[in-house]
Amino acid sequence: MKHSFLLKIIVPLLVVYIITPSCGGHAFLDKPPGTDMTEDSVFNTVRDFEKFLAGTYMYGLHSYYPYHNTNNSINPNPTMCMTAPITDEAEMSHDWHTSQIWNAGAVVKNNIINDEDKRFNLRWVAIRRCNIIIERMPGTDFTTTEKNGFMGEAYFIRALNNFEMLKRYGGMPIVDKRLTETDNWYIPRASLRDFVDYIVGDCNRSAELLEGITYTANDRGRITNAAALALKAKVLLYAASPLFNTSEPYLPTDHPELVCYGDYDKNRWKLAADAAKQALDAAAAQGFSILDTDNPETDYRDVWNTFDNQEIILAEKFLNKTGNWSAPWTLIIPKGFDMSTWGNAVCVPHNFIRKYEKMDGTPQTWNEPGVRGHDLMEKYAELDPRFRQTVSYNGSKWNGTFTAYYYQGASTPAADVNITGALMHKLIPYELAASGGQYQMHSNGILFRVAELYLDYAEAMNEFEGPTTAVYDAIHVIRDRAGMPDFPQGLSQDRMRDRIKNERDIELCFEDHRMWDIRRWMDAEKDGVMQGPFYKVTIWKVSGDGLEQKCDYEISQYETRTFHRKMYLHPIQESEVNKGYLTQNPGW
Amino acid sequence: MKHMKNISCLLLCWVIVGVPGLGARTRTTSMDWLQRDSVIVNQFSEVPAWSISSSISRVKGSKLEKTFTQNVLNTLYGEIPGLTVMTGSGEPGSDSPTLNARGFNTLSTTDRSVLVIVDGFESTLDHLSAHEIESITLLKDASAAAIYGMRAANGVLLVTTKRGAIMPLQVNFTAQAGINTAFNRPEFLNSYDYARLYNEARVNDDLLPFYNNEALEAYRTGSDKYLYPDVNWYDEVLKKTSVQQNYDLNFRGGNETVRYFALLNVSNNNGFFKGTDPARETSSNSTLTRYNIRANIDVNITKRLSAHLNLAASLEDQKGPAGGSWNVYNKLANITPNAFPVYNPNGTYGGSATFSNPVGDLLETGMDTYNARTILSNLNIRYAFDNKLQGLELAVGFSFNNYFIGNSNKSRKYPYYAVAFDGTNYVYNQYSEKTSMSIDDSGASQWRNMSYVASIGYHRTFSDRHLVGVDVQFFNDENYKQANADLKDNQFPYRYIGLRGRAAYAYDQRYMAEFSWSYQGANLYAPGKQFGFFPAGSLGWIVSNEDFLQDNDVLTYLKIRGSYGLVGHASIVGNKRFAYTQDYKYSGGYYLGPSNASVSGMMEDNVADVNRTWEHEKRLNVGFELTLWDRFDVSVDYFHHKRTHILVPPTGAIPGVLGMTFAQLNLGRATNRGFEASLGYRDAVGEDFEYYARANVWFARNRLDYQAEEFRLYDNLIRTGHCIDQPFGLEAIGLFRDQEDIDNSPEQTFSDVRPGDIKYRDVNGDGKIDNQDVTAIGKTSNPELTGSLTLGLRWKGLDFEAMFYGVTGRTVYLSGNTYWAFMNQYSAPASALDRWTEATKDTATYPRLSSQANPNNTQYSSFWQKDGSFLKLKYLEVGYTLPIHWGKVIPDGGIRLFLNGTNLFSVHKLRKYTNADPEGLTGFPQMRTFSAGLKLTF
Repeated sequence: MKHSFLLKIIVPLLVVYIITPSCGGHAFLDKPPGTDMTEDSVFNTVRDFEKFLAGTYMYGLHSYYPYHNTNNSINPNPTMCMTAPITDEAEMSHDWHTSQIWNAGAVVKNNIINDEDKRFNLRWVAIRRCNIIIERMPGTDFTTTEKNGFMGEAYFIRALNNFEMLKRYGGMPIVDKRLTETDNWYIPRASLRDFVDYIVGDCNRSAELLEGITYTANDRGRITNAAALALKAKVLLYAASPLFNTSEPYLPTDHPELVCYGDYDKNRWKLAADAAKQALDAAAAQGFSILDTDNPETDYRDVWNTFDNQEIILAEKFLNKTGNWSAPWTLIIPKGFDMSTWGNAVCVPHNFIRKYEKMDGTPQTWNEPGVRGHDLMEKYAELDPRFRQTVSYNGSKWNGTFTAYYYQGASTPAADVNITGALMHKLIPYELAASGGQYQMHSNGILFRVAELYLDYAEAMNEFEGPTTAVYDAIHVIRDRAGMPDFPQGLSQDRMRDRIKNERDIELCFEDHRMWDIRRWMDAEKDGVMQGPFYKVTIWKVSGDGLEQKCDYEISQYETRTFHRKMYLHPIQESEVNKGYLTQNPGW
Repeated sequence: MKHMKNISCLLLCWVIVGVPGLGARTRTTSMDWLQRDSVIVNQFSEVPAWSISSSISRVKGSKLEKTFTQNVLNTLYGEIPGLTVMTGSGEPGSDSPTLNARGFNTLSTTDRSVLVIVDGFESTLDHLSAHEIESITLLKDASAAAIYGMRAANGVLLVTTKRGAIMPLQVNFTAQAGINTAFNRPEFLNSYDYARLYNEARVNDDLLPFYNNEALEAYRTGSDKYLYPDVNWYDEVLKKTSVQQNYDLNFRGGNETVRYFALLNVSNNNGFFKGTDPARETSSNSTLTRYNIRANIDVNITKRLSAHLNLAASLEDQKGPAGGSWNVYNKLANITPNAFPVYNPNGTYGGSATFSNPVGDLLETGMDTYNARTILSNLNIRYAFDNKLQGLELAVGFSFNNYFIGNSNKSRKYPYYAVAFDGTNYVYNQYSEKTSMSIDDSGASQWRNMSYVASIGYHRTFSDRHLVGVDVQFFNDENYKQANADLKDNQFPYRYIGLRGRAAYAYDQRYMAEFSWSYQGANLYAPGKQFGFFPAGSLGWIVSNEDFLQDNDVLTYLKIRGSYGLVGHASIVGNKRFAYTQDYKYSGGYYLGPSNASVSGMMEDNVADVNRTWEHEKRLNVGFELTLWDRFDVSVDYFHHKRTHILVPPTGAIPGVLGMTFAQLNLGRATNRGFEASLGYRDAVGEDFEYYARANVWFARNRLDYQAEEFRLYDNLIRTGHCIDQPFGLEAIGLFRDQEDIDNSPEQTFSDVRPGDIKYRDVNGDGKIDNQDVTAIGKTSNPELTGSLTLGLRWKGLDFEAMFYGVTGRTVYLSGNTYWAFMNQYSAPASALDRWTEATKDTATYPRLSSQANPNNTQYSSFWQKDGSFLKLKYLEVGYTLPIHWGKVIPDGGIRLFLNGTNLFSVHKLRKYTNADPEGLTGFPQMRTFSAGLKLTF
């Protein structure tokens, strides 16, 4: 047989081919071993895990600066702005800023993510990451200290992100574990009561796990026990406030439990006060203190101007130094100082400036709208030193370089951003300049600082037991640093409440407090807060230069803002509600 | 064989119309057609055409030579019913069109390409020469395509190259050369009109006119070519004609032992850039020179053992302007005619702060060079077990195909000057400066396919009436792709493995049944989810072979067939190579410490989609083929393709609380329906005159049934239910006539509106016009209906053939710098002359002019959307075969001389708006080519 040798070649070859898929086919299709990072490798070494933790910080922590994080898909956009211009603290210079939608009362449920809550989806990512850490950490072979620390940080970030939802929406879904394929993903909203308890529980666990954990200087920025307690104090303060701590929701609703407790309980103020006290003690023990060097003209400014100063308990640090052409600066620095790339500015309306007391602790008197005054510069000079450190006003220096003029006909800053006669300077580093010198600056994105705790404590104590010495003492710390006299003795509880609210606004202005404070106090609907007339100051230069000018002024209304009661809480993005698992907030 | 004479099967109509050249000059009876072309080559073997009950379309290679173009894909317009060819650029070397088989039925725009199989193995068609192709077959229904399983659903093109035959050596030499001209190009305003209209636009915007009367007068009279230039930049940069040529030499022959086909082909084509360096050192016209070589050899080693070797290579040298010709054409569309003179009084290049000099850019800034090579090789060994079992054959095959392209971009800068006049002298302001040439040769991409097959087949006819064919094939493919930078982990090859086969039975040339299948797996999917089974069945009935039609002189042939089956599409969209793995990736760092030390971050990547699978498509196909009076052929196919498991982004349905991003999921569903119809007629008057006509028309329309779409506030916004890629925009209802018209209309929120601006319909009825009024407008750019008509005749040695090709059911969108006047302070199209003014408010076809951004008028809307239908004379060829026989030595030899015109003219509906062609609205235009050629056969 001539062909037998061929058969011997071909047939075995065919056999090999045909056998291959049955026994070798799976190996052929297997993914070859690569260098991929998997969850197991992330939790294998502290070094790799800390990268995951760093990413969790980036997703989970954010400050008062306008959103500007390209890494987690919030791209810088000139329409973005802080929350301050939604309130009586500020006014954005241009129509395209999202705050104008709030000012007009035109917030809509299908665009809330763009109008304010840009992190809505990222927050769930942050919470998921925390849940993964909490789930996996016990199974790692890290040391107990490492495990406790990491878990403590995860509980904090989870609590913080849930708190960010609490203040916007009320009770929201409790997602306290990593959701997997087999879980029900369509988790309904929790009651406000359960949601607060859940957040406080996380704060407690975080504080407990972080107890005794200290960091080296190179780890400055990590979450501490004091930060966890500060968050807890804030959560309980919000929970005790009139918006939530009530039997009557702000609007009739079929689901009042989602937006309020359903009863008033004075003891909630006690819990808030105790938490604030506990946080203050912990902060002091861990080296955080009021920045007070007895220089009232600069101390207040240094709180945000000095990077990582002693008063900061926790700051957001996801940006390195950035220049004036980059976020966050470009979103808030004013046009006209040769610095801003987007040509906008954060203007300060007279509604805010009139809150500043004179240095003797009495209210400043301003002419009625429409009545021309001749002593503007003198009025400015009498105000609380914090005014000079917060506001860029007529004749003042910007960074010691430019003199800012807001009188009619002046050109620095540009006329089209001079809406109200003054601009915000707070939060913008004094050294930040257009070119030369310090043109790239760190952003001090404060989440918690010691002064806030004193204000939390004073407010809660006044609500719980009235204007006692403890209240006066707490306020003293704030006023003393600012160079302002103490509140007069003998204030009634109501009067003290008003003074504390005013002090809180002056001290914490532009730091993303006001919007949430006026909603939890239910003050937003009051005239000049988020509703009604907003005033500017028109300035005419008479003579002189810089702070030596003589100027006329006239206060006049430039806009009427609209507030609807449904705006006490945000609407939930409609596309999310339409997935069928979330109940919309009342009125939306 | 009593039925054979009736089978002038329509499958062969391509052949019928494709042969007026040398190959077939005579037609005696239909028997001839059958004997010569009665086999169809499929993946396994050759089968008689009549026995096929699946749906395929086929074109002969000789037909492709009628379109004179370098890229063989551009010869396929209208030739293969069901295959729609969409033109890209006309630039030599960058002119590959996109191919859609029966439209498309998937969402990803980047993953719709057909699978190309050359001589049985996955390959590419772009780099082949039309002269080496025997036939191209489109597998349309499930029955034909099921053996390609999860790779078949976007269509499969089977390419067969020419082979040797038992015949004396035949040498074919073809030379063809011609002149290209640009098919069409957009037109822009000259300086006078530009300045005049710009002033008008300024006045419309409440601004002062920019040009004074003196300037306007200077533009009008052309009195000062330096300070008031009027440059037609297209004419300065582009020449009217270029040269294209192709030379082909092939040998064919063989005996019982060895048969061979060998080919050498050289082609060269050039673009329209003017005045470039002939040495191609500092600048270059667009050009592609390609060398093709092929050797297909069949050897009978023994009586039963044979080897079949195919070796082909293509080398391509491509050059073009620095930054690509797209860049040049884009600049031409931007620059204003009065920007500056081409050359200043002192001979330097003109220029300005806004524009560099397009002539200088072309001639001074270097060039892009690409070198590509393609190697296609495969070897098949067959053994026939005729001695043991008649009809049994074993075969093994191996293929290695690869492609590499490297580029080398030379670039440099040059100075150009803005000229001004200070009263006595010209003064110059320099922009940019001269630099020496730098080279970047870092770019490259490549792919490599390696395949093995082993097959066993049994083909036999029993008792003259039972035709049996059974084939089973094991295959194993490995594809490396390094061209697609989007896909991470490209170092891992794409692998497919499995079995495929068919079992066919035909009885008495009347009844046919076939079952085809594949069971295959891919490493795209998670273990356990890798393999799928793709079965399909078809039935056919040749009615005309029944006794009752046996002697019918009218209905000489009728076949009815139908098929149903499953095919798949292993989509590779998304940015993850292995969608089923749960990876972590570096992203989102943080800073810690007193000086913000960077800490890199890590995050969970997209949710692992462990259930990721291929797209499933169930295909129904019914059709018939008939012949009347032995001359008139009709073939009709109707198809209904239902695709499920289409990859779609699921964000519209997944709750946010999950906190994870999803890759695309297999959630989408779509339906694609349509038909193909072909009509052919052929007749002869005596020996010397014959004529023929053939019309193809095909239609496909899909519908997106489900895509996990996000919730939409208004019904008009819902994409589901429309066709895939359906454009959504505002519905324009004319131009505002006056302020009263504006006051009485819903508020348009994009920008302040004036008379002459575009007026939109308040689709959702909420009293204002915004993005919520967007609705389905127009069609996609992909035609729904495609048709072609081929006409031919032969009289003695003279032959003539022409093809018209047309499409409809598509829209085009006129936007951007080419069509919008003064956008970004750029030029203005000629269509701006028809602008809205008080005087022309009744006839205006263009909105009022605006010198500033006018967001109201540049919204995506039906105003700028136009009917993109067209009819083209795709080619016309006249040939004459000299009545010379080259003596007795070479009896079949001959000389044919021919004249060819390709892309001769186009009829379309855009003339009112632009001079551009609906197939090439911007960029390098399509080419119109007139050529002459000579073919020698001896």
